[in-house]
Amino acid sequence: MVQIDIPAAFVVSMLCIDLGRRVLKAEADKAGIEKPAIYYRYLFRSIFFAGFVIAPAGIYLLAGWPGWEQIYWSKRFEVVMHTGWVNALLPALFVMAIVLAGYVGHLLGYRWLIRGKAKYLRPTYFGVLIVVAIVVLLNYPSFLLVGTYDQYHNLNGQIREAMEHVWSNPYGFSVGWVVVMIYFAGALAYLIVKIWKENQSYTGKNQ
Amino acid sequence: MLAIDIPIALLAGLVLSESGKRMLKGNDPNQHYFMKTTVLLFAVFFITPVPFYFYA
Repeated sequence: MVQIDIPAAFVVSMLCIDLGRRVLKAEADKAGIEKPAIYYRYLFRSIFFAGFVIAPAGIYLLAGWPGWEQIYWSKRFEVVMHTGWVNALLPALFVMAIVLAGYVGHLLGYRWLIRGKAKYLRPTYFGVLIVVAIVVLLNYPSFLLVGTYDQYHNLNGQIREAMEHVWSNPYGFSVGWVVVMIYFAGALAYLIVKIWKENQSYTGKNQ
Repeated sequence: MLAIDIPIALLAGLVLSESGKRMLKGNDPNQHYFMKTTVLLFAVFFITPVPFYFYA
């Protein structure tokens, strides 16, 4: 969902900083400069994850099931083709917002870590996750139904009862969603394990 | 156009590498990672949204 994907990029970047805090802090102290090599290595990971995992996953669901992907907040996402220059911007802005959120998460997280404010990291990303969960839950039952904006809002002769539940695989949605989740979960697990191992084996000499 | 956008991205990567060749030739990992990150940011933030705009 658009409402999840953009904050997710921010949260993943902060999580990377949190998991790698030992290496990041030690390398920054050792280098004596604000942005040592490790800063760019972690930034690369965050941007790569945002650009190659979250953005394609979001764009895939937005292209195939545009109503569900933004929990029926706007009809514009369903009419991006041949409807002028404004609506067509939405997928591009979505990708940019994901990458920007990943960048900001890294920038803020690293700054806090280096300036002795690492205690803000976890409350911030857990707080963002809680807010996102509340926003999505407040839109119940939108995330359980697949259809169009008009159907969900009972507009133009369309009715919500005509929508199908996500588990009935409407228009192949369930298969697509499972594929996306496997891709996302696999990539996230790999990233977490990689950073965690790097932190565990850090001796101060191998970086 | 997809036929143009992907080669353009490759060319942009080459041009950025060329412009930062002194950093890439050096032994400073700081500058290597800076270059890699700059190229990646350029690709995902400036190149990718353009074909998405026309593709949609």
